[in-house]
Amino acid sequence: MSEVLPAIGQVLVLVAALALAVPFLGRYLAHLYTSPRHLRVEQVLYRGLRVDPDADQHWRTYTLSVLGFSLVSILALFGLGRLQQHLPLSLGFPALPADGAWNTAVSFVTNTNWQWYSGEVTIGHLMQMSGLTVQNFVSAAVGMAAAAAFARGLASTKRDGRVGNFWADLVRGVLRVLLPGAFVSALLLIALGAIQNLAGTSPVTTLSGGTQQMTGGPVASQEAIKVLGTNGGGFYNVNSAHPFENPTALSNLLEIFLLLVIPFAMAWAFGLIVRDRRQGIAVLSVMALLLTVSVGLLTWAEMAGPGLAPAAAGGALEGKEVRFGPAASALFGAATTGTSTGAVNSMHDSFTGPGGGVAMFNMMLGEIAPGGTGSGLYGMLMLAIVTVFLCGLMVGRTPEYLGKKIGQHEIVLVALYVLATPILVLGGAAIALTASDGLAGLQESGPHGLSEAVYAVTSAANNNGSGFGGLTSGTPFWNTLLGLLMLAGRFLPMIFVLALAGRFATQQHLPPSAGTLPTHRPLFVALLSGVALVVVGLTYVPVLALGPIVESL
Amino acid sequence: MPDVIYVLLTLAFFALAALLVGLLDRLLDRRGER
Amino acid sequence: MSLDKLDHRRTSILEALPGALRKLDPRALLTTPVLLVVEVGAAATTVMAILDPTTLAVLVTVWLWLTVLFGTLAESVAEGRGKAQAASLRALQQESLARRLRPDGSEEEIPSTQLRSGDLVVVVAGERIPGDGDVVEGVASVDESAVTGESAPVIRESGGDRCAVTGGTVVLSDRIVVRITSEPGHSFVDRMIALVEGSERQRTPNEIALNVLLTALTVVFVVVCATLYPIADYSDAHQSLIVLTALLVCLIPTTIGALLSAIGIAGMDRLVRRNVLAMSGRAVEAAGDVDVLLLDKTGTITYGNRQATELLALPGVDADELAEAALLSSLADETPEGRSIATLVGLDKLDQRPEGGVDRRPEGGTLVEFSATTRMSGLDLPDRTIRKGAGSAVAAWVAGTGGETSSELDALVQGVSESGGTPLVVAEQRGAAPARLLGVIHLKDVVKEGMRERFDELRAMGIRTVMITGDNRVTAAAIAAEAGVDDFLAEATPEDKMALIRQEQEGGRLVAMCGDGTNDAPALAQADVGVAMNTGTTAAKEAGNMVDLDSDPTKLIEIVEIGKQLLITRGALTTFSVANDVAKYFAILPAMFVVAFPQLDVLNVMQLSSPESAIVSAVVFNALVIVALIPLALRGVSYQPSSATDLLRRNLLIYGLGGLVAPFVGIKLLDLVVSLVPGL
Repeated sequence: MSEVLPAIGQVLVLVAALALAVPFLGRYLAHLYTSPRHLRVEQVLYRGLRVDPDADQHWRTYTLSVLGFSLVSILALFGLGRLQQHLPLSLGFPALPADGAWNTAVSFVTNTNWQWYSGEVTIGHLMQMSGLTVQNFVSAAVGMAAAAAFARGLASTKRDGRVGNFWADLVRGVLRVLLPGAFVSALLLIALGAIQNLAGTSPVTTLSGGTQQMTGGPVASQEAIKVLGTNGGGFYNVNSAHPFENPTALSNLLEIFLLLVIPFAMAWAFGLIVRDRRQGIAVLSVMALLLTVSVGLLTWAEMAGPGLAPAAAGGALEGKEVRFGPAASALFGAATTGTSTGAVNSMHDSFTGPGGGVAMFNMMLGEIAPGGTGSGLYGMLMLAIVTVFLCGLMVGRTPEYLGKKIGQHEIVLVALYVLATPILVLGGAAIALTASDGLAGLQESGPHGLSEAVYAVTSAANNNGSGFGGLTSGTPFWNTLLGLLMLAGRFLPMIFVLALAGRFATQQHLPPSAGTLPTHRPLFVALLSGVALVVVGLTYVPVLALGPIVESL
Repeated sequence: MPDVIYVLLTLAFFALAALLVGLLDRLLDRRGER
Repeated sequence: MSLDKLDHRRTSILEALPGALRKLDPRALLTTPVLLVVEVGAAATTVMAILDPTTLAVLVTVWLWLTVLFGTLAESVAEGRGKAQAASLRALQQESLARRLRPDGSEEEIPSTQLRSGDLVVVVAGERIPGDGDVVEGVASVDESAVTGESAPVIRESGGDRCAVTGGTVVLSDRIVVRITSEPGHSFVDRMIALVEGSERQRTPNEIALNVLLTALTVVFVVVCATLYPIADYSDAHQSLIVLTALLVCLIPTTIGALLSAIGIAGMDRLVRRNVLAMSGRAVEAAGDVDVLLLDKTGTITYGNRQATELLALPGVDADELAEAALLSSLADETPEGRSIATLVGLDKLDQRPEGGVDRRPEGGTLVEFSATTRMSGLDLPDRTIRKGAGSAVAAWVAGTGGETSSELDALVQGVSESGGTPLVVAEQRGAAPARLLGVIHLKDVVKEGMRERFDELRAMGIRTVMITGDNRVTAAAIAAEAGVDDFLAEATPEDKMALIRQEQEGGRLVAMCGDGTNDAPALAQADVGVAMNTGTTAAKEAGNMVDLDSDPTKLIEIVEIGKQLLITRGALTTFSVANDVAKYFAILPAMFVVAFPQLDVLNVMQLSSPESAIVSAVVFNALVIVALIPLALRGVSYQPSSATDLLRRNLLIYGLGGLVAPFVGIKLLDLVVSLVPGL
C-alpha cells in the first residue's frame, strides 16, 4: 500500500496548484480576448502582416482566416519536410517521404502532433524549431481563438454575427500567453534536469559497456510548449518517458500541470466573457468531474489492474518508466488523453485492458475533460447545448443556453458537430480494419489489434496524437488515412463551432427568468456529465466491447 | 509526383471547407423567425 | 377504467388503422426520418427473411413492420380525435340561399358559396348567417352554439366591438345587414375545420429542430451499425444483417420519432377542447415560452363591476341611519353598483333590525337619476332629500344648503381611494334644515377568487404578470397589490399597451395578451401570443394568433400551461427514448458477440435466455413501448406549475431514470415469454 499515498499525494498537489492558477489565468485570458488594446510589438506585427486587428470579423471572415492561415502553415511545413536535406541544421537527415512530410505537416497544424517517426532520428533542428515548434504555438493559439470567438458570440448582443478578430486572437494567444508561459516552464524544466542545446548526435558509452547514439537539442523549450499547448509532439520518440524530456517525478507533475492549466483556465475565462462566472465554473466542474473519474479508473486499472502478465509480475509495469511507476503513468495517461495532448510518459499499448479502454474513451468523449487548448472548451459547450436541447424541453420552454435560443439552425450546426467525429472515427476504423495496407500496420491480431487501430484513428480524428504503440503507422496508407482524419477532425468541427458562434451573435440576448433552465447548478453539471457519457458511450460501446472490454474480461 | 498529389489533396480539402463555410453562411442568413 | 371507455379506445384505434396504413408510404415518411429508416430496415429484413426464413429473421421482420405501423398509428389516432369535431363543423357549411342587397337596395337570392368579400346580405330571425362578416345595420340575438358550444344567445349589433358574426350561426330575432368579410373557402369555419383535422398542420420550429437532432442521432447509429459489420468481421465475430438491422432499430430514437407529430397534434387538440383555436402551432409553442402576461383588469382579474363592500359612517352618525340612507338612495340605481349597495345593506344591517326593515317602496318619492353634470343620484321624499355621489359633488351640494363639510369625511374618502376603491359619499337633508353628511360607501373592484394563487404559480414558472387598466395610478396600484400581479399599467391607452409590448420584446421577452376591440388589434398582432375573444371584432380576430370561443380572458393562463405541457411532453419522451438505449445495448451486445468472445456474457446482466431471444425481446420492447406511450403523448405529461429546477428534477427522475430502468425490466419480462417460442 506504500504506493497509494504518493498516488493520492501527487493528485492533491496537482489539484492545489490548479486551484491557485486557474482563476488567475482565466481572468487574464478573459481580459486578453475582450480587450481592445494592443501591445506595441503587436501593432508592429499587424502592420507587417497588413491586417487590421480592430476589424470585428463576421464569423465567415473569421473562419476563412483560420482556414487560410492553416492552409499556408501546412504547405510551408510540408515544404520544410520535403526539402530538409538542403536546409541548414538538418543534422544530415534526409528529406521526409512525401506521405510522412504531409502527415507531419497536418499533424502539427491541427494541434494533433501525431508522430509516425522517431523525432530524434528524422527531424533536424531547423524543422523542429522553425516548423514544428512554431506550429506548437500557433496551432494551440488557433484553438484558443476559436473558443474565444465562440464565447464572444454567445455573449454578443449586437445582433450582427461578428465574433472578433482572428489575427488579434492568434497574436495575443501566442505573444501574451504561450510564449511567456513556455519560457517560464522551459526554465523550470531545465532546472529540473531537462536538456537544452543545439548539439547533434553524439556517441555515449552506456553502463553496460555498449555505445549508444544520443541526440541532443532544444528539448526543454520544445517540451514546455508541447505540454502547455496540449500539442504532444515529443522531441524523442518515447516522448515524455525520455529522461531528457521528463527527468524526474517532479518534472512529470509539472508537465501534467502545464497540460491541464490552459484548458481549465479557458473554461474560467468563458464564464467571465459571458458575464456569468458561475457558468464557467459549471463547465469547469464537468471537466474536472470527468477527469477525476478517468484518473481514478486508470490509476486503479494500472495499480491493481486485471490481466495475466501484471499478476505474474506483481504490477502492470510493462511499458512504464520505473522512475514514475504506475500511478504517475496513469495520471499522465488520463491527463494527456483528457486534453488533446497525446504526449505520453508510458506506452498506452501496454496499459491493462481497462486502462487502455479509459484512455481511448477519454479521447472518444471528444477530449472535453478538460480537452485541448480551446477545443476542449468548445467541445464541452457543444455537448452542453445538446444537453440543454435534450433535457431543457422538460422545463416547458423551448431550449436556450445563456440567453440564446437553440432553434432549428442552431441545432443543425450542433448536430453536424456531433456527427463529424464519430463518422470519422468509426469510418476510419472500418477502413483500417478492412484494407490490407491497414491490417499490415497492426502488430497484433484479435482484440488488441483492434484496439491499436481504433486507438490510432480515435487519436487522429480527435486531434490527440498519442499513439497506442504497436502500430507501424509510417506507411503511405496510415499516413494518408490519419492525415485526412486529423484535417477533417480539426477543421470540420471548428467550422461548425464558428458558424454557431456567428449564429448566436445574430441573436438577441434573452434575460433569464425562474422558468429558464439554470445551467450553473450542480443538477446541470450532473446532467451534462451524464449526457456526455451516454451519448459518447452509445456511439462507441460496440467497438469498445470488441477491443478493450474483451481484453479486460 | 506524390508531392503534387498531397498538395492537391490539401488544397482540395480547404477548398471544400471554404465551400462549406459559404454554404452555412447562406443557410444561416435566411432569417425570418424571431 | 370502465369497459365502456376501453371499448371506445379500441374503436378509435380501429378507425385510425386505415390512416396509419396509408401513412406507411415512404414518401409520407420523408418528414420522419427515424421511421423511414425503420421502414427501410424492415424492407431489407423482409428480403432476407424470404431468402433464409429462420425464426429469428421472421420474428424480427414482423416486429420491425409493427414498429413502423405503431409509429404511423400514433399520428393517425391523434388526428382522429379532431375528425368528429370537423364533421359537426362541416354541417354548418351546407349551401344555403343568401339574400344579397343590390346597390339600389333591392334583394336578390344567390347561393351562399358565391358570396364575395364586401357583399351586403340581409339576415332575419330564423335564418343562418351565410358567411363571416360585420353587422352594418341593426341588432340581433344570435345563436353561436354550433361554433362555441355556448347555448345562450349573444347580441350582435352594428358599430362597436360586438359587430362580428360567424358564418353558419343562426339569427334568433330581428333583422340585420351583414357585410361579408371572407372569400369562399377561407371562412372562420373553414379554418377551424382545417385546424382540428390537422390537415393544415405545419410543423413548429421546435418540432423541426428536435427532428433535426433525432435525425442526427439516427445517422450516428446508422454509422455505428454499418461500420460494425467490417469491424466485427475483423474480430471474427461475423454479424448477420438481420441482427445489425435489429440493433439499428433499437438504437435510433424510434419512441420519440414515432410520437413527435402525435404530440404536436394532441397539443392543438387540447387547446381545441378548451375552446381555443390556435391559428398556428408556432403560437402554441410560443405560449410555453411566454415571459410576460398582459392581463386586462376588468373581467380578467376583477369581476368587472364594482361592488359595495363597506359602509363608513362619520362620527356621530348612526350606522343604521347611514345604511338606510344608502339603501334609499340606491333604489333608483339599476346599475350593478347600485344593486350591490342594496345587497350589502340588506344583508349587512337591515336584516338585523327587529321589524321588517325599511319600507322598500317609499311613498311619494321621486327618483333622481345620476347625471354627468351633477355627478349625484338620489331620492326626493316629501320631507327628506337623499343624495349620494362623488365626494366633491356631494360636499358642494351640502355646502349649498348651508350644511357643514367635515375633514373627517375627507380622510374617509382618501382612505377608500388609496385602498383602490371608489368612495361614494352619502348625505341627507331633512325638511329645510341644512343638509348633513352621513358617511361613505366603499365601492370596490372585487378581485376574483384564486387569482393571487394563480399569479404566484405564474411567478414560480418565471412569468411576469402585468395588469392593464384605465384606472388612475392609485386605484390601479391598490388592485395590483391585492391581486398579486407583478406590475401594472394605469390609465392605459391602446398606444401605451403597444409601447409596453414593444419594450418587453426589445428586452428579449415574449409577450402574451388578450383583447377584443378593434383598437386592440395592433397590440394583438404585435404580441407573440395574441388571444382574441370570439365576441370581439373581426379585426381583433384577424390580428391575434388564437381565438378563444368562450371569450374568457383568464384562459390565457391555461394556454400558457398547455404550451408548456406540450414542450415538456416532447422533452420527457426524448429523454426516455435516449435513456432506453443503455438497456438495449446490454441486451443486444452480449447476444451479438458472446459466440466469439464468451467472456462478454458478464454484460448479459439481465440473464436473457439466448442470444436470439435477447435480440427479439429488445425489438419487441422497442415496438411495444411506442404503443404504451401513445396515451401519454396524446394526454401530455402531467404538469404542475413550478420553477424550472423543480420541473427538471421531477421529470428527470421519472423519464430519465425511468427510461434507464424500464427497459431492463421490460426486456427481461419479454424474454421470459419470447424464449418459449420454438426455434429461438
